[in-house]
Amino acid sequence: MIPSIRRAKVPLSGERLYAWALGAPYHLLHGSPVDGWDGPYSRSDRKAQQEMLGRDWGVHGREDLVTRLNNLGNDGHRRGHREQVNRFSTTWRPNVAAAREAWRGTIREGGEDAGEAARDLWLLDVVQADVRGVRSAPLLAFDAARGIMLARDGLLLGWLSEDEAFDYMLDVARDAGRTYGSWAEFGADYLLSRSVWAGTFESDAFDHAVERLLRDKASPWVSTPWAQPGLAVPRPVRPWNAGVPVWTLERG
Amino acid sequence: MSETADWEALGLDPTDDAEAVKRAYRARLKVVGPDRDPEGFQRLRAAYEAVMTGLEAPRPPAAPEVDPDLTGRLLATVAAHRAAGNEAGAIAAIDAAMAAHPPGSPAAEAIEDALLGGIALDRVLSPGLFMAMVDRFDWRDANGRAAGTDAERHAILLDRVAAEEWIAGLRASADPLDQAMVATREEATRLVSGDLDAAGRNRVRTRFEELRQHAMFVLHRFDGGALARMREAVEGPPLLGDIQPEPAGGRAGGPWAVPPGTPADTATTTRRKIPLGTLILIGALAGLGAGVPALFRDSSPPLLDATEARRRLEAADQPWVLFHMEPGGTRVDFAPLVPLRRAIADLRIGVNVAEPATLMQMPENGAVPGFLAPAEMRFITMRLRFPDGSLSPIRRYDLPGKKS
Repeated sequence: MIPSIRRAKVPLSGERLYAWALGAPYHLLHGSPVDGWDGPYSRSDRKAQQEMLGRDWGVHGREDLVTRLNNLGNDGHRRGHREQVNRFSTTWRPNVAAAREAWRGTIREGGEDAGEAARDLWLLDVVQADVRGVRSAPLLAFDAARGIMLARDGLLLGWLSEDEAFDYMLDVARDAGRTYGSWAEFGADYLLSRSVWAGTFESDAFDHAVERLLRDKASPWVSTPWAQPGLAVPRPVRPWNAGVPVWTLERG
Repeated sequence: MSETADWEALGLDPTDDAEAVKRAYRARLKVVGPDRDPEGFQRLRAAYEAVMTGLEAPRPPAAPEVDPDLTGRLLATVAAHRAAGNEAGAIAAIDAAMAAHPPGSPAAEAIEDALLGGIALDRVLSPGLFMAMVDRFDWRDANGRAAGTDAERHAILLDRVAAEEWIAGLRASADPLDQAMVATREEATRLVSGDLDAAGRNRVRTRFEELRQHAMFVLHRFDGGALARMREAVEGPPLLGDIQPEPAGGRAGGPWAVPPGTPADTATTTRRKIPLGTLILIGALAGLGAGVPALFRDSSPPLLDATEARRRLEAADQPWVLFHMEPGGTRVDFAPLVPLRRAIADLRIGVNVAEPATLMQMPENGAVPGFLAPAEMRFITMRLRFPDGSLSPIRRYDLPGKKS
């Protein structure tokens, strides 16, 4: 079951709401408000989020968190995924056939390489069939939504100041805003880029969360305009501080 | 002996003039000869050799007298502009720093070294900033400072320079095939609308080979849809595997977009393969109605009244499920139950098991549950509970071609 959409007692507005809402699939499934926050985490939420951060992200405090946020902000999965999709887009038919046979053999044999072979084979087939337009998809949204989620946890766990968290989130928002044309595009690319990461289209709670966010009147994805004229790139330059998280807007 | 004692033994103030040292040594020999003063001669000889060795050794270059904060400030300024997506600002910051120091000065060399070591090999460094530094510091020069300070790093720099110049050449080319390489999917489709002749095919093959050579630096910048169009112009449609293309015309607003308000029942749903372990989720998800349309198709068939629906459900010739053969596999479709749902309190299903145990609420909004059967699925069993609490007999439906 997916939780119902939870609203903050004092919701954010404007660009901050827009940025916060980019992480809404995680807010929704974590039981957090999708449009703001109601103060620091409760003791039980704090425990649950810290366990999740430690288990899934290796994050145990501010320093780890900043490192992870910077990784997402610089590279994440998007560049590697795009390279792999483009490599498969340019693979000649005989090589496609050969790669399939090789990976199927690895999968049949089992062993530690079987999982990676299965993911490679899946993506090769997805690219050949151009499922969900993967060949031209930005594949940014998975990194963006996770960046927002981590910044949210940093804020609510007291590891990031409000300015640090929102400086980061607003840069994620700038990147998303110049990449997509609507919440629907963002949501679709979120599911696609997450599937590319997982190596499967197997449906799970995130698919249903996105569907709900796109349709439920309580969702900021329904009520907040996608276009945010105030989030232009380049933005004003901030003094550099190597100790705060950065989502880079540079395009390498 | 200390260096000072050596000069004292020679009777000379420190100097770089080797001839003066030799003259002093010869003069001292007349006083401290090996015959007259063997110990004094030993000291003199040792001092002479030490001083001459020092004069002949190559001298380390004088440490540049550079403001130690100069490079740190510049790198921070450049980083701040890069983070803001302001490539022009980063280039201007470097230009300003270099304008304040003459070429070849210690400060100018320190700036170049800092940029070489700090950002030149950064994976996300923008092409414009990278090439601006290449041009400013002449990093192509095989005998320049970049090559002299770290040959391996310089080789990587030259590889990226070649990649940037290659992609710039494609963009500047008048050849439609080159333009299509760096175009969007739509532009490439317009530029390369049909199959290519032999010369065109060879050109695309050459370009793809070049792309592979430069892949580390530029592959991520291309639109895979455009590249695939080029490939298809050479060798025809892609070689499909287990996953089939989606039906055309189901998308708008971008190839990966799902327009808001569009039932997500067309392309995306039918391609989802749900493993047996996940199938149990359907029971829970079915109760979510419109909130979970990814697994359901919107449909509004007329509802039969409960009595007629019960009669039909109990009729032997009334199927409870249909199987549709689709390119991606067999679709399991519960549509026959939808108009009869007034007579259904709940449905339990089982996959490859005789006793259906997975509870499946019937959606109240008329949505039709269905899924693409996993490869290992052979049959499905179903049992209904009627509104009066009674249970139907179990029905078993074998998937086409998988009767067991």
